Amino acid sequence: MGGKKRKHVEVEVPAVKKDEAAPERPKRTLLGWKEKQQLHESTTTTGGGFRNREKVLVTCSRRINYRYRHLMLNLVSVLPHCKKDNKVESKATKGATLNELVELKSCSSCLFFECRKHKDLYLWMSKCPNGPSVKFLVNAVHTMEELKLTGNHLKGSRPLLTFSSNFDKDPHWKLLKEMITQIFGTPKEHRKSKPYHDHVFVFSIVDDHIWFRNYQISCPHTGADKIDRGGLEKMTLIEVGPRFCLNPIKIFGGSFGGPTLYENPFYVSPNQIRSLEKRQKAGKYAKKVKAKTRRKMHEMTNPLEADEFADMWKE
Amino acid sequence: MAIKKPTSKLLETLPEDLDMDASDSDPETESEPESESEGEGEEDVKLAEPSKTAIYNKEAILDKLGDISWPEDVDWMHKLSLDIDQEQVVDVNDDLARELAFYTQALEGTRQAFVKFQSTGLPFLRPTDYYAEMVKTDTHMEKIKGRLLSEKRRIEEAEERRKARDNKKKAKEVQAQKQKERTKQKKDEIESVKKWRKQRQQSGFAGGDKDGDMGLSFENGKESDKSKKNKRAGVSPWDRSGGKAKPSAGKDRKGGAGKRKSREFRDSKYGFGGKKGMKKQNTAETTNDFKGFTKGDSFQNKKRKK
Repeated sequence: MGGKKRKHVEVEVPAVKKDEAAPERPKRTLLGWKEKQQLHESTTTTGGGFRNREKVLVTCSRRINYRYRHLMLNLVSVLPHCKKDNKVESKATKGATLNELVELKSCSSCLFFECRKHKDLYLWMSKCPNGPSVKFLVNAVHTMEELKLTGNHLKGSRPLLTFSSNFDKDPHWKLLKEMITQIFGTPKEHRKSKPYHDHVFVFSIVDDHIWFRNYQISCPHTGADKIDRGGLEKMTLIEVGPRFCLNPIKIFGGSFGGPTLYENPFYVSPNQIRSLEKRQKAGKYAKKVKAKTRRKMHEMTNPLEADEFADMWKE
Repeated sequence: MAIKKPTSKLLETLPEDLDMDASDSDPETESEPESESEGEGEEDVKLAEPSKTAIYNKEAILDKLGDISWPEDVDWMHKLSLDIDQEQVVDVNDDLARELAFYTQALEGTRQAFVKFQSTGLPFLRPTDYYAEMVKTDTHMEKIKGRLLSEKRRIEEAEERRKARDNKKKAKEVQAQKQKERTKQKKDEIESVKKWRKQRQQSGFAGGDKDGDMGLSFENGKESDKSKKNKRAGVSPWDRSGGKAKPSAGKDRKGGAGKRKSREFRDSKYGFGGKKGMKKQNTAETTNDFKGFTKGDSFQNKKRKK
């Protein structure tokens, strides 16, 4: 708040020629406009000068499943600083195409949903000009339309991001945490953002997967900024959705390509899992035949003694 | 630096000669438990082996982190990120515990954030009269509400049904009990009559009937339920009028005369307690009543009939 006031004062002085515009326009747009014009805005001196200009491009591949498409649309509605684009076709030069697309739309990061075989969803998260990128396998998807997720929140309000403490344990988790903060956090004075904070994101690492949850904060209170101690205890969270679980596969140095910086040692691709299962099932008949021959061998090597009562009923 | 190695291809063959120097494998990654929860049971053991060839370039990662991070002195208001400590390790497969862990993490985070917001004096929670576009449409919320209500109703109905069933059972029990009691009472009564008769016989019919010391249980004016049913209202057993004679017969003469064949008439004639066969016998009033004998025409008629 203090930073804002200071900027307003400093801006009004040189803006003599734009008198008609200055008092009429609301503070926020004046600030935004002024900021673009005046390049002497210091971004390094104080934290108040920093401006989050993050823009996320959200796209998907063709032949995407309905459930994953709804997930993507849910994310688009939850992130007001994103731009949704058309489906991306090419398979071969995927990286280059995407980089170009991001440049064109002047975005600074990208979320790309790639659906393979109508079954598996991979999520690419990358910081675009030359930043790192991550490929995840997405599991356990529940969209916002599920009737069991009953919460609701303002469209475009800034979320609170909570991370579990094991994000600080390893460098690759730290990198992921930074990327997530930048991509999922709504910039402060974004055009489409709304005031008040009424939902909270949960990113937590359990079993080497990143689990995502989105809760609505509901608390009985009277004023916007006054809650007594008792009210704080009565705060409840209602799940809004969507829900998903990310399994990191690889981290690359460049955007959608580049040297591999990290590979997940425990990652097994879903194709391999399926083939293993099939192989297990296929072995059933062979195993049966083997068991039969083994039994025969066993019988041959250990012949039974002659039964003394075998001739009893013979005539 | 890091030599790129092909990732695990054949999971069933355990590679004997792994080059471990290529990857800066963190000792933590090897000791971490199997993460794949996609359903392989016995392959876990086989997977642990080939995964050690994974790349892990820590320095480059930290470099990139430095590249993309925002400057250090950025106000917390821009980031709005909170780190919550996870006390205990959560089992992935236990759904309830896992969700509970997430919930507590979020709650903790919100409380901390609220404290921070309060210290800076910024608005935090949405006031109740702030209306704006929500992330789920109103129609969707209606559907949710409908579903919740229907679930509640279903539960209530099940409860009611169960209660009704229990009540019915109980009522049946009570009825059986009552029936038993009634039969017992009847038996007792019959027994007491028999006893009285025996006593009378024994005492040689002496003492007279006025000796009401026998304690006959059925003489206390109580009528059994059965006899109640066959009694018609307003008709006494010695009534010969057939139930037609009403105490206020003076008022409604036309109705009585007009509706001869009415229900009541038929009831009185043919129903229980109706006139039996006392028609041709004299009562006190009809002894001196010579109404039917005044005119002499009937005599002539009788003669003619013969």
